[in-house]
Amino acid sequence: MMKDITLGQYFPGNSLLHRIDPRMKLVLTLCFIVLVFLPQNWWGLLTVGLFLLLVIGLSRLPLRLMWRSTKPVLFLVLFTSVLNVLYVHEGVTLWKWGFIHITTGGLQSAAFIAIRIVCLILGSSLLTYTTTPTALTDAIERLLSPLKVIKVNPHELAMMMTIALRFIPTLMEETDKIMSAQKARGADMESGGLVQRVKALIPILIPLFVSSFRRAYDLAMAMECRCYQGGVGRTRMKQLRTALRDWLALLVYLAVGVGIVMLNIYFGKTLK
Amino acid sequence: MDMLRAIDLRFDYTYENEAPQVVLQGVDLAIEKGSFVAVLGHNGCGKSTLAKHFNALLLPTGGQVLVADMDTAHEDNTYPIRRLVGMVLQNPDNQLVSTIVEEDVAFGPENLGLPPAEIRARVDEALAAVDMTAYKDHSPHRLSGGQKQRVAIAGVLAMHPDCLLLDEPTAMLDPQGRREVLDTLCRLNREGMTVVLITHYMEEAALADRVVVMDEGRVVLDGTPRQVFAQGERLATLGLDVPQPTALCAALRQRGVDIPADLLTPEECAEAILALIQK
Amino acid sequence: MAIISVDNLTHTYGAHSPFEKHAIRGVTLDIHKGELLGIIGHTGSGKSTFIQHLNGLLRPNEGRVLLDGVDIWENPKKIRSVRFRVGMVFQYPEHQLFEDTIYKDIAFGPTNMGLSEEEIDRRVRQAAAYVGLDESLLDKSPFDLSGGEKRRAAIAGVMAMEPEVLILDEPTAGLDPRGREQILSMIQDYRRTRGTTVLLVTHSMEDVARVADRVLVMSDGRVAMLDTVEAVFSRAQELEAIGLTVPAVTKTLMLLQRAGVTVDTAAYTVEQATAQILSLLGGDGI
Repeated sequence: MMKDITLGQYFPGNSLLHRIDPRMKLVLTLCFIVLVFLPQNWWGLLTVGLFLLLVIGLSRLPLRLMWRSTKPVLFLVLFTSVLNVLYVHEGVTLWKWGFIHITTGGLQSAAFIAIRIVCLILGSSLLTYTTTPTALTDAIERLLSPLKVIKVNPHELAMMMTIALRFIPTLMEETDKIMSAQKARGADMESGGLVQRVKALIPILIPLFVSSFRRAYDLAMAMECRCYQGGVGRTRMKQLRTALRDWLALLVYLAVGVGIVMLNIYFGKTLK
Repeated sequence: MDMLRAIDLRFDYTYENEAPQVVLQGVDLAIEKGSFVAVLGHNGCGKSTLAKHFNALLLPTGGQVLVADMDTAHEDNTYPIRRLVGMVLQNPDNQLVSTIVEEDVAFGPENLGLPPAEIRARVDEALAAVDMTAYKDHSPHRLSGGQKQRVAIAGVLAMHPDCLLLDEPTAMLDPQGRREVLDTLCRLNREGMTVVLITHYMEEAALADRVVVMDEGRVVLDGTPRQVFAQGERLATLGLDVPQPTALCAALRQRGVDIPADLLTPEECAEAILALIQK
Repeated sequence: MAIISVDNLTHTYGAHSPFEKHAIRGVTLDIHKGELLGIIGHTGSGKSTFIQHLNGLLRPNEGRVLLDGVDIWENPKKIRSVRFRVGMVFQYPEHQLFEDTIYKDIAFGPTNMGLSEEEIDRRVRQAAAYVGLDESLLDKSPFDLSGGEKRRAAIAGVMAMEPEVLILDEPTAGLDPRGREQILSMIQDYRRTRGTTVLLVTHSMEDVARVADRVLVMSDGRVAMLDTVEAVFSRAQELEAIGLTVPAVTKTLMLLQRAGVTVDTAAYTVEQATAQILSLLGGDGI
């Protein structure tokens, strides 16, 4: 059922990772993405992998969550791996049959890319698992605040994100209801060619638009009633304060980065 | 002291190329601080439009509206008025802004630019006042209608208003949700809050200490629930009904039984009938 | 005679997941041809899930729904024809209007049935008449109508399919007293003229008392009561125990009974209660 969709994947907890300032977490996640692309040899990648495992351990999230976020990209992982196996022809040839030409180099780069993708997914999902959507929008708002100089209003951007997050489940539910109602009047959404199917969406889309406008009108009124006047003069209940641990965390990430670069230099480039 | 006051309030609007629509034609109404007033009237009688005037969402085209002696027509008064008069709308889904209950309640005080510690204190207090503290970390879309509406009330309370203005807050709720909201309102009123409740449910109006009935943009009846509901026939012509026990008394009186015309609840009604039997 | 027979109907949301929830379990009952059945129960009692099984919007996990003795899921490809025979008006049906005129919107159902132009025209006009919409409104946009008119137009859209069973989910929700009154008397008239079986889901005991022949009370996904209106309201204490109320006049009579007066608490309309109290007073009051 559509109702069961949870938006944002926040998993409540109170681990070290949960407590890190969301702004810093956002920065750390970007750092981690860089880390994943730094290694040029297996030692470097091993370091990234171990570091990721350590961070996952610190987050105290159940391991099934890790599986849940990896599952949707498994196909992608498999696909790129197969491509690598087929198209990278380096090192010793293991097997050759027609145009299929499997080499040790191909296998290595396939494994390397697979591990990279999985690390990327897990690393970034850690951010959404340990940060509430509101904290995240908050962090984006504040990290982007320097953009005010070039007339981009980060408050409006964040407000839009918040409202979208708030109303997506409501609209999902609404779509569900309208679909049932039109089905009850014999709307046929399962058969016919492309044109017919697109046409069959009209009885759903129009009511959905109408109701969205009605909601937007109501919401604007409710916000005005609550003295909303844009970002000017607004304060926030939840203050973001970076603590020592946030800066220490950044230091650790940087150290890992430096470590990987040194491994790159020491062991040389064995992988792409 | 009058919390809200409308003096010969008129409101009309004109769509392009259409005849002007007159919504309010001379409303005089004063609502005392601390009172609980129910506003009744069929759809299109102008009661929502009146409510929007008390919140400076609409400005009069004639006459005057005063909120705690501040004229709504002065732009400088707009935000002080909106802080003093909190408004709750019909659809609970459409007035919650945030994805987390407590952050939604914080929205109003944040707009007022209060210091964070003060906001925190007000949010906790407001959630406690509507008995929703246990849900402070929840996402609004998972709550029942009655719970959502209580969160909306908390969001308004956190601005420390003197008056709550509710536009059919129970219309979309089930009986359980309606009870929750009404209990909350009655309790807040006992603690000194001025409550103005627009409703279509006569049983809810019976809980107020004053009932104002509107028709065609005017106030046509104004009095205690007993005084107003005793006029069953008049109400029927206005497209309204009376609480069932009142209707029962009216039917009995019509058949010559000497029972008061202004009984509102089953309890009162049963008591009066018992008294008659024992006589 | 039963037009719909429900046999051991069970529906579970999110089966085998941590969110598993039994919405209804083991519901068995018959709906008589031509009756007006009121369905009551608080939110979450399973009544919405139940009615969506009757026209095949939901498929049971267990059990069967028989329409005129035939399992509606016998041929899943034909489920659409079941929806034409069992019409369903959802809550706030005016939110589903989408055509640029009322006429076209009412015609949506009949058009989906593949009827001829003349037949569609006849049905649209007749349905509009049933709900009391003036012919002059038919060419207007649904968005130019008042709230009550929109609601009636949306109900006409289902009536125009001329279903044998008409299910209405809280048709009076959110309306003012006059609007509620119009909808209720319209439903009664419609049923009187056409003899359609009507199922009315509502939170209002007063509405049920006014129009229903029998009442189905659902609680916790099961049938708590299924009986005549008198019989159901005479079990007021049980109703209160499952979080439902009784009409205020019934409550008044219960209070009298508790005080030792001999009254029949099965009375549920103002007229019935008036008659009872008059006989109690034995003319003393007159």
